[in-house]
Amino acid sequence: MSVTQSFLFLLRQPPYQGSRDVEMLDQILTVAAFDHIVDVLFLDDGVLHLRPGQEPERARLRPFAPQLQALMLYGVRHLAVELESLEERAMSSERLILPVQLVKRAAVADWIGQHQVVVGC
Amino acid sequence: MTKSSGSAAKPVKFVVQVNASPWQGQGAHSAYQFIKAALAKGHAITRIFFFYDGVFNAQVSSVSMDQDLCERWTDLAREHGVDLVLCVSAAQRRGLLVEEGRAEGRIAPGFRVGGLGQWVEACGKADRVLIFAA
Repeated sequence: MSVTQSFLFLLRQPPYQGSRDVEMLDQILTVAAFDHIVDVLFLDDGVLHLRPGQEPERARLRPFAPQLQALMLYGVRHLAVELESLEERAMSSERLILPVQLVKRAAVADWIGQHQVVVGC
Repeated sequence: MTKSSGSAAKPVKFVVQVNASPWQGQGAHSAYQFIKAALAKGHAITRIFFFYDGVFNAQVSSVSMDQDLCERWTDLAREHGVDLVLCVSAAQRRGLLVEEGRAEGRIAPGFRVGGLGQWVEACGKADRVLIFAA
């Protein structure tokens, strides 16, 4: 068995871009399945994943929010969101579809530095 | 007498993930250039994992311009023994695999089909993991 590593996934893309959502989630959950430490940080347009009131069915898109909630079930350690990315998109940290911890932009570099493998997606 | 340590850098083991297709921005081309440069400097590329639209790098195309990078990946595998792994589910979603497993004729030589687990495993043995997006 290999040594436990810490992975950070930076979710920077908005939802509903074809199969990207599902593939990104597959990668995160695969790492978690190998018992590595997995943290997820929503950043830039990635925070739109957390927006309440999404109705993708009306555009004939497959809902992704329920799958995103699997992150908490499969041993992801921290779910976090960058505060300024929320503010820039007029989103409130009080109303998000997942319980996430708030990270200020000034602290993001430190966050990244604490992980061995950083995956932008 | 002290030995000079600055001349030759310690070899680094890289795992590279390619997310972009050859015709989608510079991502795949930059990945290839980086890998060539790293190998030339004596570093090791322990695995290249093609994910998202990056799986299209393995597609045998009838248009020669698109084919250029695909052939260079094949050469890289032949000349340096680099392990080129296509994510099976990403490839299947994009119609690259007719059935489960390898479809001769559509996937260029040198590539093999694997899973995300092989990416995770490679990360565990690497010094650095690099991702080239679109």
